[in-house]
Amino acid sequence: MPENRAAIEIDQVVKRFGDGEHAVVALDHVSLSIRENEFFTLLGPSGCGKTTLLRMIAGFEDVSDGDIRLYGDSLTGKLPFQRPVNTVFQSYALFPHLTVAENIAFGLEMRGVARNDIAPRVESMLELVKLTGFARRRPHQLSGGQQQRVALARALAPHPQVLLLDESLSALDLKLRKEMQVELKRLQRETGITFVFVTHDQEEALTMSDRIAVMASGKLQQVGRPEDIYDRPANRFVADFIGETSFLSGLIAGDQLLFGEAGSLPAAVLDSHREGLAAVAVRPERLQIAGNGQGIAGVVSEVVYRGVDTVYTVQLADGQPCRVRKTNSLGAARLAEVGQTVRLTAEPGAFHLLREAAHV
Amino acid sequence: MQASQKLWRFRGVSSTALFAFVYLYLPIVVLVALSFNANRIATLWTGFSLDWYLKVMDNENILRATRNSLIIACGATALSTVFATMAALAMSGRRFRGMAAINAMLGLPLLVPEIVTAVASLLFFLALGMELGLVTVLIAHTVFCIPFAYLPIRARLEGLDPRLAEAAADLYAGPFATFRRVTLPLILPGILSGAMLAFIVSLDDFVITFFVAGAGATTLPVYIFGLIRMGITPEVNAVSALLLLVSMAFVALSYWLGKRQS
Ligand SMILES: Nc1ncnc2c1ncn2[C@@H]1O[C@H](COP(=O)(O)OP(=O)(O)O)[C@@H](O)[C@H]1O
Ligand SMILES: [Mg+2]
Repeated sequence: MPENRAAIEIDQVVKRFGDGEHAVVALDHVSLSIRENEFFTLLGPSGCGKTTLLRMIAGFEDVSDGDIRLYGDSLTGKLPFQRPVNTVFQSYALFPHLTVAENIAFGLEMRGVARNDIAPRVESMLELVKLTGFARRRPHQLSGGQQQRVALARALAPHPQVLLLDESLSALDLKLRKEMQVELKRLQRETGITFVFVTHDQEEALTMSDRIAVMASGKLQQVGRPEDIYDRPANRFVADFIGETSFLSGLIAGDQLLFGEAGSLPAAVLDSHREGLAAVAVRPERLQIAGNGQGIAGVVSEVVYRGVDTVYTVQLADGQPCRVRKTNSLGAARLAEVGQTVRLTAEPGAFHLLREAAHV
Repeated sequence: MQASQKLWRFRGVSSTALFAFVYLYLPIVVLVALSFNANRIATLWTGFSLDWYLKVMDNENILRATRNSLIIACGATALSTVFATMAALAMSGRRFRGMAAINAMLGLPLLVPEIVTAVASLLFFLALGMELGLVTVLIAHTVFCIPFAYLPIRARLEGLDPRLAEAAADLYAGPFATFRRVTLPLILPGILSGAMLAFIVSLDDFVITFFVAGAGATTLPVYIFGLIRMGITPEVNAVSALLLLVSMAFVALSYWLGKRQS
């Protein structure tokens, strides 16, 4: 895919709430660039500043320092109604006194779209979000999922240059959420609008995004495609937050990765090389379990059956816990039982070498 | 009775409540009943009649007083509701030093003894050299109606999701369009409820009006007070019953509006 030009550039943005010594720094010199037509996700734990960043793009919060540009033009000083971006609010914020059709028409009317053009546009938006026939209902007569669709239609109707979505799926139950994930991707493809999506759910982010920005305590941790972030986390935080990970400390000496009494693995299991003490991260599904032979030794301390897979916790001989995940095939027996001594091996590149020398 | 209620209920609560209820409403029921009494001696029942209502409709003084009351109530309602709405809007959606104090001061007139307000208003008008009349009554009423109109509007605004105004702004509505298309329709029940409260309070006021009304500005309550000095007549009962009817209608309407929208 050719790299599209930048739709939004966030340049050294700082956000402070309050002043003096009581100031809370919600965003700390965040810089990133969101490309045209991409599904971009801001991912991070609650309180890391995702909503604040989104609200600054929309214009509801002032930038304390730095600048936000939309197609090269600074947004600083522009009020929300002067910015060609629309928001899907977490609480939907549908106008309760207006019908579904009137809600969707609101932005079009305010933009001065000719009266005759509004009705067909509302109709096509309803079709797009699969709510044809609901035009005359009021928001309180709709289910949560339907309100969500109205909020989407309302924000998409004026055809914004960027659509901002704040935790849009969090309020829905699991099944509906999965449906809406597919739906959102479809809407993004069909409308060709740049989506900036905020979530704290890493699985949702991996499923839907073209690129993800991982944030923690107001700081940007890593930006990249889902594969980049999953396979090559920039630091321990990202490795821990995205997916399941075991963190191990070892010593790299020549072509060996040593784990004390547990033994060693060939250094080729690492994705990069460096001599000396090393902190490594490994995904449970990238480890193999064997009764004996080569690999690092440990004792199984826990076995958890989870339907689709089984997770084995192995206490390595040097005392470090490590997890292994195996997909269950039909009728297959367990690979090991609690108390059993096993050996773990890995494919080349399975272990991610973290920048820090040791875990803290 | 629920078991949990037994924990704090004790003997005599229900009967005391019943007594208080009767004590509140019995005099009003008697007044309304006697307004239909055929006998001129108000306390002696002889038969049903609508005579006194007809007499009231014929009495020019009563009609003039009624007209004054309505003019003042309507004017004071309109003015106080506009001021109260502005104040509530100014106070909403922000925090500043001294905000609690200003809020308390807006509600304080509800607690100040009416006689104090009355004397103060009179002094104020005299100091300004204003002639007492409909205008002074209107000004005084507007002032004491503001807190009554303010409270329901403020409550309504507090309950308004701030995201709604943001959503409007996000959808290209400027500040005035946001107010007209979103905020105003949503707080309208509060405004109507406040206006109705202001109307009743103005219509029923006696003490302040008595002090600041000139000779030509007699309102209905002040006129009734004048009649009473010559003894309670069935006419007084009939006027009072009519006033009661209007008040009740407004209270009910205000309550219904508040209920319907929540
Ligand atoms: N209006 C505000 N006043 C003060 N602090 C705020 C305000 N809004 C957000 N914060 C703080 O900024 C940080 C980031 O909040 P937010 O952007 O809502 O996080 P997220 O959406 O990632 O959960 C939090 O520590 C929060 O307490
Ligand atoms: Mg948030």
